Amino acid sequence: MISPLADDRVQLRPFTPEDAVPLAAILNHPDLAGRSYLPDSLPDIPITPSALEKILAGREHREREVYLTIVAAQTGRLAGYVNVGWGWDALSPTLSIVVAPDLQRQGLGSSALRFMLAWIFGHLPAHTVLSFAADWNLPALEFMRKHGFHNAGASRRAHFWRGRYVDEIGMDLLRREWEAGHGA
Amino acid sequence: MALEGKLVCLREERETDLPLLVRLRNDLETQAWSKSLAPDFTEAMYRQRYESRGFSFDHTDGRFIIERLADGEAIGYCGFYDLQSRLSVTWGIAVRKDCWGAGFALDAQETILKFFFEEYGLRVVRMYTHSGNQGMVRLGEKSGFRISVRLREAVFKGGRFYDTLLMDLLREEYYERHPELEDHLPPLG
Repeated sequence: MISPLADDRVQLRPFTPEDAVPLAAILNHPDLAGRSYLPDSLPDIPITPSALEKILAGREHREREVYLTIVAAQTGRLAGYVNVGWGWDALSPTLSIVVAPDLQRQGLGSSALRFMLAWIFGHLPAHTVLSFAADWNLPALEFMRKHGFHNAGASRRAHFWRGRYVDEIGMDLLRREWEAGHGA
Repeated sequence: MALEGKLVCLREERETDLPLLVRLRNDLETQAWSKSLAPDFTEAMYRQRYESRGFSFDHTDGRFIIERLADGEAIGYCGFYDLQSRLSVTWGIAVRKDCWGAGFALDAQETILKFFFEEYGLRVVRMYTHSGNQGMVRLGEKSGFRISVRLREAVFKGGRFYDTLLMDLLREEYYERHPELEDHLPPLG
C-alpha cells in the first residue's frame, strides 16, 4: 500500500492538467518574480497555463525526477509544488520548493519539506540533499536554515536579473543531520 | 584557426581521436569528476556520439581535443556545457596521465579562458571538482578560479566521501590577471 504524503495541513500529489491555471497564477505572483522556477520559464515574463502544461507534460515521464503539487488540506487549494531530482547521482539529489505568497507562514511549506525529506532519505540511497536559492531570497534561505540546511557558499553571477547579478546560494543537509532531528 | 596556446592547441574532435576518448573515459582517474563509471566504454559508443553531433550555430556545449604543439599528438580533451549566451559557462578537462605535470592543462585552460572572455564575452566561468582532486583545485587557482561553493560529502569515489567544489572566475578577475588584454565590454549591473 502506498503511504499517502499527507497530514492535516498538506497533501502532495502528482500534477493534473487542471493544476495549470492555479499554478500559473502562483508563479506569476509579483512576490515570486525572479525566482528560478521551472525549466524554460523566464524571469518576470508571465507564464501562461498552456505553456506551463507543456513544460510539466514534458517532465512528467523523466526518470529520476519528481514534481508534486502541494495542496492545502483544509481548503483543497493548490499551494505550490516541490521538485526532487537525482538524475546524475542518487547520492546527492536536489530539492526545490515553491509556496504561494499568501499561503506562506502557515506551515504548508514546512509540512511539504518534511514529507519530501522523509521520502528522499526513505526511498533514495542519498547521503545528502542539495538546494539552491537566489541571494536576495532571504525568506527561502531562512526557511531552509530553520529546517537544518547548511549554507555552502554562493555561486557568483548565476543569473542577471533586474539590472544586477544574482548569486545562487548552495545549501546542503546530510543524512546523519536529518536523522539527528534537524530536519524533523 | 584552432585555439592556440603556448604548448597546446584546442581543435575539433576527429574520428581518429576516438581511441583517446575511450582511454580517458575508461580510466577511473580521468573519466568523470564526481562519480565513478564502469570502464566499459567502447569506440562504437564514442563513434555514435561523434556522429550524432549535428550542425548548429546554437550549441550550448563544445568539445575540443588538446593537441600538443611540439608533435601534434592528441593528449586530452576539454569541453564546456550549459553556455548561457554572453553570461556564463561551465567547463572541464581531462589529460592523459603520462602528460600530467608538464603545464599542458594550464595552457589549455588559459587558451579556453581567453576564448570564453574575448570571443564569447562571458561574465563568469565555472568549473566543478571535488576536494580529493587537489590537482584540479590547484589548476583552477593558477588561473584565478576560487572555490565559491563547497557541498559537503556530495561525492563518493575511491571508497571515500569528498566535498563537491564549485569554482568560478569573474570576467574582471580574469582581465586583472591579464594586463596584456584590454576589456572592451562595459560592466553589467
